[in-house]
Amino acid sequence: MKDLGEEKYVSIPQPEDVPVREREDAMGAYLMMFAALAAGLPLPIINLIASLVYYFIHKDKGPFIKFHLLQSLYSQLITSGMNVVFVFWTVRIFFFESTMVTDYYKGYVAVVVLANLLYFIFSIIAAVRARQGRFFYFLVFGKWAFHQAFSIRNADVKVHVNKTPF
Amino acid sequence: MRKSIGRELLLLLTFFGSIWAVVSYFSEDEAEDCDVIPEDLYDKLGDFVIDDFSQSSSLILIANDSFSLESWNEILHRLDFDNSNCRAIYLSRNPEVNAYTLPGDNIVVYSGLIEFVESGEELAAVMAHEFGHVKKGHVRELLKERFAMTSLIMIVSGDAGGNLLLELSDFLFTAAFSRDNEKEADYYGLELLERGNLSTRGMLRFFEKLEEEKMEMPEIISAFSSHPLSADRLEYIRTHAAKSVGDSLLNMNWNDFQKEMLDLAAHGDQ
Ligand SMILES: [Zn+2]
Repeated sequence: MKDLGEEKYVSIPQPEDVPVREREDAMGAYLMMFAALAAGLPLPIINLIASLVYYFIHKDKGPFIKFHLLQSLYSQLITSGMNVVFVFWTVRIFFFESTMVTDYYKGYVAVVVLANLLYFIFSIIAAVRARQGRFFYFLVFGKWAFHQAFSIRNADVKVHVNKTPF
Repeated sequence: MRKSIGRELLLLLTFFGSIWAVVSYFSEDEAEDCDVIPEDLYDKLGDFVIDDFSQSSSLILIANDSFSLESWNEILHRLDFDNSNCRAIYLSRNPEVNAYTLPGDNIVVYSGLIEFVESGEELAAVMAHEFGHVKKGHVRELLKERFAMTSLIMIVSGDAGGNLLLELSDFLFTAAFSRDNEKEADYYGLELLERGNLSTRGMLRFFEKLEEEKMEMPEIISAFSSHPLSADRLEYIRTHAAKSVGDSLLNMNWNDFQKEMLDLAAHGDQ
C-alpha cells in the first residue's frame, strides 16, 4: 500500500467564509433523509437514491458542501445497508417463514433501532451546524468525508505558468 | 489519517457488536424464564400425569435415566437421549399415528406410529421433534399459560380436588403447541439428526407420507387436538433435507424392531 505520509488539506473555512446559499445546501444533505423517510421505510433504498441524486447535483459547489454531502451519504449508506438486511431478514421470518425469530434476530433488531436513532440524532445536529456554517464530525464518516472533501490532490495543485520577472 | 479512522471504526464496530451480543444473550435468558415452575413441582406433576395416564391405557417403559430397551439403544444413542432432558419414553398400545410430550417431559409413542413408519430413520425423526419440545421447554410454557401457580401448589399439597383433576384433564385434551413451537421443535429435531450424523430425509419422508395420505400429525399432548401439517412446514424440511450432510443410516433391522415393538405393545395391554 502506498504510504501517503503527511496529508495536505485545503484550509478549512470559518463560518463567516461560508455563504448562506452553501450553508443551506449543506444542511439539505441531512434533511434529504427526512423528506424520503416515509417512502424509505419499507424500502430503505429509496432514501439512498434521493441522497445520491442530491449529492450529484451539489458535489462541485466547494469543499464545505462536499464534506457535509459525503458525511451524510456515507452514514446513510451504512444505515440503509443495515435496514435492508433487517427488512430482508424480517420478510423471511414473517412472510416466507423460512427461518425463525432467533436470539440473533432480536439482537440485530436492537442494533438496527439504535443505529437509526443515532443516525437520526447526529444528522439533526449536523444539519443545524451546517446551517451555521460549522462542522460536525461523525465517528469514522466525519474523518473520511473530511479527507475526501479537503485533501489536496495533485490535480488540484495549480501550475504557476505566469511568473514574475524578478 | 488512516490510523485514526481505523481506531474510530474499531470503536464503532465494538460498540454495535457488543449491543448485538448482549441483547442476543439477554433474550436467550428471557426465553428460558419458563423455569418459573419449580423443578420438583414439575416432576411431581409429571408423575401424576403418568399415573393418571396408565390407569386408562397401557404404558410400557422404553427408556429413562437408568433403563432402556436394547432395541432402542441405537436410536437413543444417535439422538443423544442422555442429554435430551427427557425423563422417560413410553410405548402405548393405540392404533393412532401419534407421539407426544406430556407434562413432566415424558414422551409417549403410540404403537400406531411404529406401525405407520417404514424405517428407523423416520422414527428417529419423530423422536427428534419430540426431543425438541422437551429441550425448548414447550410444555412448561403451555403449563405456565394454562395454570395459575396456586393450582399447581394445590396438587403438591395434596389439596387437589376434583376441580383440579377436571382442569388437568381439560388441559390434556385441549392444549396444543403453537405453530412457532412446532417449528422450533422441527428445527431442533433437524439439528439433532444432523448432529447424530443421521439423514434428515427420514423426517421429510415421514411428513410426505402424512401429506400423501391426507393425514394430520395429531401429536401434541392430547390425542384429540390435531395439528395441521402446514405447507411451509413441509417446505423448510424439504429445503433442509436437500442439503442434508448426515447420510449414515441407523444400524438396526427395522422389520425386527417393528415386530418386537408391536408384540410388546400387544402383550403389555393384557
Ligand atoms: Zn410437535
